[in-house]
Amino acid sequence: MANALVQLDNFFLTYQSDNNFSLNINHFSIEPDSRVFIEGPSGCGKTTFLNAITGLIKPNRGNIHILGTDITKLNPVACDQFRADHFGIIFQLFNLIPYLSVIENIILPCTFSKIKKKKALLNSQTLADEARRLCFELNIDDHLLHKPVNQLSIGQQQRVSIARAIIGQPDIIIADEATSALDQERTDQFMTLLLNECQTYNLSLIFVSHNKSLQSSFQQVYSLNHINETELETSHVLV
Amino acid sequence: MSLFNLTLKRLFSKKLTSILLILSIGLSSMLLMGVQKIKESAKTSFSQSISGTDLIVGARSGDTQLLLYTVFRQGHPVANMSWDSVRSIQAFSEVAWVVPISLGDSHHGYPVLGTTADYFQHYRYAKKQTLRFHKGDYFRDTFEVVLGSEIAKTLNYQLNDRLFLAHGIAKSNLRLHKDQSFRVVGILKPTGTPVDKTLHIPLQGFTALHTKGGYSSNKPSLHSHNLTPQSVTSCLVGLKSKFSIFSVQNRITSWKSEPLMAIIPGVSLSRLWNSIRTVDTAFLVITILVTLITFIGLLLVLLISLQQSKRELAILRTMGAHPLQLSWLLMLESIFITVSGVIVGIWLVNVLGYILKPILEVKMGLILSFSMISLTELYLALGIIFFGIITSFIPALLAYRKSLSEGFVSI
Repeated sequence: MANALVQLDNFFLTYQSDNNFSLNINHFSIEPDSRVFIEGPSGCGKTTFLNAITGLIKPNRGNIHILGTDITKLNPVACDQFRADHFGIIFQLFNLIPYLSVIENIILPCTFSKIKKKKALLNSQTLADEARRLCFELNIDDHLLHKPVNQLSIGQQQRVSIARAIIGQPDIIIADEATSALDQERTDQFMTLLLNECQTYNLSLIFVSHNKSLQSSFQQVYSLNHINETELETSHVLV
Repeated sequence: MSLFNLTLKRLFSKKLTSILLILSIGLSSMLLMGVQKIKESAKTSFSQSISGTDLIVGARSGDTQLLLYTVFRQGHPVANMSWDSVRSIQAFSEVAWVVPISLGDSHHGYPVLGTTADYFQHYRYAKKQTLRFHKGDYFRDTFEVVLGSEIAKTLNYQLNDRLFLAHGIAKSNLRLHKDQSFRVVGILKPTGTPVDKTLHIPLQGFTALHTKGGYSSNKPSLHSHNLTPQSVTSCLVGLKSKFSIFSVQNRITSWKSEPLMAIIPGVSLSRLWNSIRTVDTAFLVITILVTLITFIGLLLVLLISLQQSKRELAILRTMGAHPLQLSWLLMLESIFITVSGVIVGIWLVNVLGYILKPILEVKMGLILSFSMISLTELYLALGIIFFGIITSFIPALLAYRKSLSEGFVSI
């Protein structure tokens, strides 16, 4: 049996500072090679969910298997290394390191992951070449490549974020509200590019958003409120 | 891209703050090292003001007092010692040479020293260096004078100039010995000791100034008079062997005909230096406080920048950077700033020293040694860098703890 992409068992997470919020998932799994859309209103725990599956925070109880590895059993350093090697992450805004150029931002993940670096060098001679190649695929103009990233438009910045997430072809791309700062036209462009790239390199995608109109592009759609077995009515009132 | 490169780019992205920080650490390390340097130089030039003299003999008073007026021309002797005693000491079998010294007159505030020609042969300073002539030679006649380098420079005297001496020591000429003028026959090279500020005249000339009725340098009958002094202020004594220092000292201290004392210059110099140490410690405390304030400033800037870079650290964290790596990034940043600051400080000390060196030498007789980095400076530099690392622990620790507890920062 092939390992599930993401599998949560007996999962429970709550914050010490906020007793009204908890994430309680008895069993949830995502199959390999999936493009998954997870929907939920703000405050329902989408970011907490992503923090948990990327190993940034530990659950109070339960197991999280990513590609067969139980990341709750990993020590902190190994957990960070696992994230560096297997995830590519896109946020909603201010994704990029402001004092680095476009190229430098894109190749940054290879600083932290030897696997990504190795894979990137299979495609191109140097990391910078690979970054340039990805930029070309993503319609980022050559003249932007050495500019500081804060001189780029938001749409351009988000495309740079895609390049940074897919460099070295990690197993799972995670997008956290990646389109919320974009207008409709830019959102459509962004979604097309992102899904194309995932198709091209055969990457799994977990896309999290409150915007239900995006779900049409995905094979699988989940609602976090359905996954979370905590009594949501009460938490909604209190949050 | 390595963490080191990342740190450099980070620093370059906030040029102004980084430069100001480097400058402020540079200035405080300059202050710290400069004060140490001046102290060391002062101590050296102080302790090197006389050497090669085994004993200084004078009328019985305090040893500091005898040292102060004989070597540094500060203060006044309580009493003189008789010429007979000088001659008796000269007759000791252990004694190699005796140079008598008479003080009490001045010229434009500079002290006049009456002595014999032996003075130029036996007086030593620093590491047994003899006095050397910039121009001319030592005096051979009663009304001739040899000038210290500083006097010649400030009062602009040349060889063969004639000058008048005043009785007593004060800037405004009290009572000029108008009828006796002295001819400049020699000008000494700079020594960095009180010799630079002294006018040297023959003992006979000194006596002539003070003989009732007065001798005139114009009178041809001068040499017929007896100009042997009745008494002198003190004398420098050189021994044939160092081993006899204490026995000669004892013999002079228990002198029967008049109360005398003999001091060993080196011993008295270090005693005197220790007595002014408190000032030196106060200086050090102040500079350390200044350095402390600088580091509080550094800490403040680091904390503010940590606040501003929360997002950036979160991005690095999600890309797989371990909290330790993030802490290291912040520490590297402050190490870089501190090290650059210290380098700027060393550079500033040397540049300033180079500029101030001639001024300090002329005005204060302080000879600075700027040839190389001293051990003390090295310790100070390492100390400052160590302090910088300690300071950076605080934001590094905060970043470490924060990045452990926080994951994605969603806006």
